[in-house]
Amino acid sequence: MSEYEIREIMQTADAADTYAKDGSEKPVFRHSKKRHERRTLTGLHLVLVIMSIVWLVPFFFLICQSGRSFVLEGGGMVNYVMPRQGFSLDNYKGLFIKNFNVQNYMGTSLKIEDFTQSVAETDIFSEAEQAKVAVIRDYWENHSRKDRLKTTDKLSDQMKKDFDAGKLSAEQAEAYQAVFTGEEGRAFMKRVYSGILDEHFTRDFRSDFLPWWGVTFLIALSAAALFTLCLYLLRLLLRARDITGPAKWFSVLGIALAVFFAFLIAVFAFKGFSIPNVEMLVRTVMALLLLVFFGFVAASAFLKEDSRLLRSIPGYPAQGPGTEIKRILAFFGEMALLFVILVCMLVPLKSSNFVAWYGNTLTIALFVAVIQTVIVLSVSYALSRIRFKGRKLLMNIVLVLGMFPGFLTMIVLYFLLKQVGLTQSGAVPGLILIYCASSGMGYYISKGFFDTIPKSLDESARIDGATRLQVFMKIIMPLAKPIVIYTILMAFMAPWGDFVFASYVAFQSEPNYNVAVGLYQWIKQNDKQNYFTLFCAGGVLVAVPITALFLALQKYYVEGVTGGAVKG
Amino acid sequence: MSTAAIVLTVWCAVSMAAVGLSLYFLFQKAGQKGWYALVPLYNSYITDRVTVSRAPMTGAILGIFCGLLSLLMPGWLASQFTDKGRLILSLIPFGACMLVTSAIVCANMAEVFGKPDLFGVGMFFLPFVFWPLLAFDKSAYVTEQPAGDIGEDFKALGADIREGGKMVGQGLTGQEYAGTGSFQRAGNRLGMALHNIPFWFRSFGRGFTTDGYAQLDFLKLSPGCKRFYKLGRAIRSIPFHLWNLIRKIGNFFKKIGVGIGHFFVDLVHTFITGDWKTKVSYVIMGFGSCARGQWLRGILFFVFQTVFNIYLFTFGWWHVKMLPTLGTIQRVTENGQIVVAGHNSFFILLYGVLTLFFIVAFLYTWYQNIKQNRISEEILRSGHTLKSARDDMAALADEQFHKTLLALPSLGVFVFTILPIFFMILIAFTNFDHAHQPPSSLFTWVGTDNFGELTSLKGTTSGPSMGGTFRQVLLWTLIWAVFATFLNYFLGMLVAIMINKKGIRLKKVWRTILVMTIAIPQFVSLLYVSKMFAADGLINTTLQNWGWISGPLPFWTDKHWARVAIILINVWIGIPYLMLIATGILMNIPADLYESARIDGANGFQMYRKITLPYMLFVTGPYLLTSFTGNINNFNVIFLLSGGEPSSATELAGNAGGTDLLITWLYKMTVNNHDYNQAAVIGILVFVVTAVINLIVYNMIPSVKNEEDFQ
Repeated sequence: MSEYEIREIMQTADAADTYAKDGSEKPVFRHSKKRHERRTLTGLHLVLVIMSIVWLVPFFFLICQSGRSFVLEGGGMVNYVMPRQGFSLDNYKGLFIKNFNVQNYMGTSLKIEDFTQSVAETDIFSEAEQAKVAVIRDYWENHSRKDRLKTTDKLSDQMKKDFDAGKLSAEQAEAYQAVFTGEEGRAFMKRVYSGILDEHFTRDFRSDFLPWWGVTFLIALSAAALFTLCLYLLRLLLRARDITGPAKWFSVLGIALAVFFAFLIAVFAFKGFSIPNVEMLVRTVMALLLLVFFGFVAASAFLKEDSRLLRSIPGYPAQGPGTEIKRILAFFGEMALLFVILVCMLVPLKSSNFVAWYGNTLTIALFVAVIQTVIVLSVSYALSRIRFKGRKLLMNIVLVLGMFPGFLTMIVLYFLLKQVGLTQSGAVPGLILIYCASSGMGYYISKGFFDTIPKSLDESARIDGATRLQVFMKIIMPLAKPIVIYTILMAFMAPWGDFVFASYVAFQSEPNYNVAVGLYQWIKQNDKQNYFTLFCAGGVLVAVPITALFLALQKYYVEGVTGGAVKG
Repeated sequence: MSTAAIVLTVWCAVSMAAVGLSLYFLFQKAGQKGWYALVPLYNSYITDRVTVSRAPMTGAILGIFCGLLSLLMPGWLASQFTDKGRLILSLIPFGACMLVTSAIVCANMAEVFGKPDLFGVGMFFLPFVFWPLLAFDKSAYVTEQPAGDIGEDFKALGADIREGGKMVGQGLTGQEYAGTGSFQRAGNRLGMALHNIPFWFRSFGRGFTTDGYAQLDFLKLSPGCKRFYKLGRAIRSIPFHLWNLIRKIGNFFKKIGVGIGHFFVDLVHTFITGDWKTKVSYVIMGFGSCARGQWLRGILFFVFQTVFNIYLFTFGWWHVKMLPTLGTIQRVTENGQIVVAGHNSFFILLYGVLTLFFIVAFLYTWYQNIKQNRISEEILRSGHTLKSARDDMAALADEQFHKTLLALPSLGVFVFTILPIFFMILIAFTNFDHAHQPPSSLFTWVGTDNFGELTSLKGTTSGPSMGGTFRQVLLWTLIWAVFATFLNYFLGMLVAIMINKKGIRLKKVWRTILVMTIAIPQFVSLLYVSKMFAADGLINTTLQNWGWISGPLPFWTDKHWARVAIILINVWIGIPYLMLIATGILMNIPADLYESARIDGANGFQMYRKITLPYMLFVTGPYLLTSFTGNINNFNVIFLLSGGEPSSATELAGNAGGTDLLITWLYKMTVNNHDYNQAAVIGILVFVVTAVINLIVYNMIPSVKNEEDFQ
């Protein structure tokens, strides 16, 4: 049959669809299949867009709120991130003042000027009290140049010394006792702080969160677009041979201007939000850059391997041997840069235990990654390859043991470990021991993978005289790269998210928590201040490396999880 | 009113006017009467005809339906919202309907008048620009076939319905069936079903009998009859399965008994037939091996025996002796000084159990020692040489490699899993709770009192009964596990299919976005989301700022809201995992299966039901089971989201909360109440539940039974 005839037949076949089945010639209307499909596809795309928004919205807010820490100016709490109880001013203020724990702040680095100013300006202090504070201020003025008494705690220490030595006048002694000591003093200071807070709340607090994030998002988007454009232009510039002389310099200038404008946009957008100090501005800009970088890095995860954008990044390898390794390294390089930005942004965390927690978790994760991989691979290889007596029994025992809740073992192990000193202050080695010791029970996925490697390889090698050990190390291991990477990834990621065991082993020993327990403490303290934005910052710092690691090794994760059904 | 509302209203008014006007002229262009555009529902119908699609009419009717439906908003939902909030809430479905319908209408209008698709997009976003443009420019009405007469259509519809009524009695098949209209087909199916009902009962009965149907007869049955037959057969086979199970358990015990019997027979036999070296080995382990030249083995055995003896007689024996009573001397303190150092029940139990294990291990090693002797004798008798120490070491890397690989992990599993679990099972039979904490007080055996207390329904003086609480918590655990597993599974599969569909662009983007959700550590997401839904969190304060609600929505304070919220949030977390798995598996289904199905005329849903679903269920069957049992023990999600709240002392005993799983209850008992014995009981019960489910399902899932069928 000629092509023409075939085409005719096919066209009549299509047309036949539109005729009624009862043979009459009247055309019955049917939707054209193409349009129907196109409508479905549009609908599906819409659904996917909505899904993406729903999935990403919480993380977006997480990042935004980590950059927006509430800082009080002049209250001496610059390094202390305030809680974010709610989004209404009165709600916030009321809760804060109610929960305010003066013990934490008694006399800590409250500048004298602010102290006296607050007392003078807020009208909750009586004349007598203001007189007392005036006395103290006189005392201070007589001392400050010599003894560098800039803050209230130093001042109160100095006054105490003088009081004990009897050097204070009667007036000064009375003022000292009323303001700095005893219950009365505590109540007084509390009112001072409340006064300061009161004033600064009105000025600095922003209760309308939504316009802020909307603008942030738009800015981030435009900044990202500008950034991408700059990279593209840069690449064009670096490659173009026919742009010479002044044109080249103009292009460079253009790129520089674009970057500058991106920064300017960010600054301008926040001018209207009366950020009280430079630190907060810096941190907010960092949050933006974080968004940009994150978006860019995520973008590189889905761009085609030889896309122009990727090639335009200087140093980004697009082809050739070892490209995969190089690409993973480049990825990690970007992430390192990102991480540095994050660390600069999240400076207040250094005054808390967060660094200790982070270090703990990192140590645990590294050790567990190595040890657990070795154990799991050994066990799964043995069970997969070697048919020894008692193999079925062993697998059944492990299956049955796996049905007990894991936490049950924790109760006994806690007492045992306590005898050896591996709890609380020894929580880190204790946790490593706990995770690694029973990790042999998680052999299932690896065993499945080893089962897919043909036994003939083993057998031919053994015929050639290799011992099983040699077969394992020299033949099977190189083939098992995907599952090794998967096991390492899983073993590394697990300690970061483990709450039950870590909270029990490091019971009430704060510097030995891991990040999960620590962040949980931050967010769940109901009778103290909830360190919400601190949690957000900590959460971002934890999430970024893990996400980066995961995205880079995504391929192996999918292979492992689908049981080797999809290779590569 | 705020500026946004004003802008929105003006926008809508202008667009509606523009669209109405344009429709007038568009209808004229399409050959219909222009004034049809001004009649509310009728214009949707005419738009149907003009754009050759069923969407406008359906959309209009659906929208009105949604609007009316909102009048039925349930009380518990309506009470949470202010009037303004309720109004907006009821408008949401209606608004969504209208939005979707108008999008479809715009796209279709653009196509039917010969404009590119982007024009349709413009019509949707800027109606007052593009609709008049369409109406007044030179575009002509282009379509494959003209819109017919409405009268004729109604007549055809009426005829179809009438025929459908007639069909109920007829039961057409084959060719006649295919040539009918949809109402007729429906009527036909209804008739067939009604006709078949007595046959279904008969098949059920036949299935219940011993012989049932012969193979050929079975194949002749209708699908409905087949199903009822299989049901009858399944019910009939239940006693058979139970009996099988009992037999298997009996066999298991029989095997153990036989094994023990053989053990003793072996011992005696070896003693009698062995030479003097073997006989000495009965007392001094390793003697036989040493005497025969296997120094390494001999020395290892002997050292083990010595160590064991030392341990037993200095330390272990006392603990084992104290096991039945778990300590008798109570610690007495006066003024903070320990006057009488009492027994520590915990360590008595622990070391006692350890010693018992040791004794078992020793017996086993002793037995190995004997066996070694016998085997060595036989080898020597048959003239071969025994393995030297060097051979042994080499074998560890070769034939006995599994021992090398498994030694350390087994030890770890034993010390860190088997021993504690065994220990906890024993604790369940003691009274080790907050009132009996060693070393300051003793605890002792109480038998099955704990189990009794946990299953009793009597309330105590201080509140509700533990048994009732236990039942509630168990029920919620099971419900939660079912929803968490299957909802995630099917939705994840749906999402994977959706992304995988031919024609979807930017596949990798969607997948990466969802995968990022997995990458971010779960506890960060969970904690953040729990705060988001809190009474002072993002959602509540935003809604309050907008004036939709007057007080916060009780996400974590009301039991039912909390449960639904947890399930939905778990769906949010779980879909990406399932999507990944499903994508990987879907890509492996051979494409020609789908092609041949499509040629045979299957539509999307049928292909899903007959090809995709069975394949997925087969491959992920074990995964589903693991996931189900994992969700029964899913501590993180529940604890980090709601902390097991809301707790209510009047309803639930033992500090349990409305969303507590068994395992979070266990945690609370351990950490907050220090009631270890009850925690142990709950742990055992969790094990029982999990084991039962596993057993049942393992014997049912097709991947275990019907592998050939599947292939």
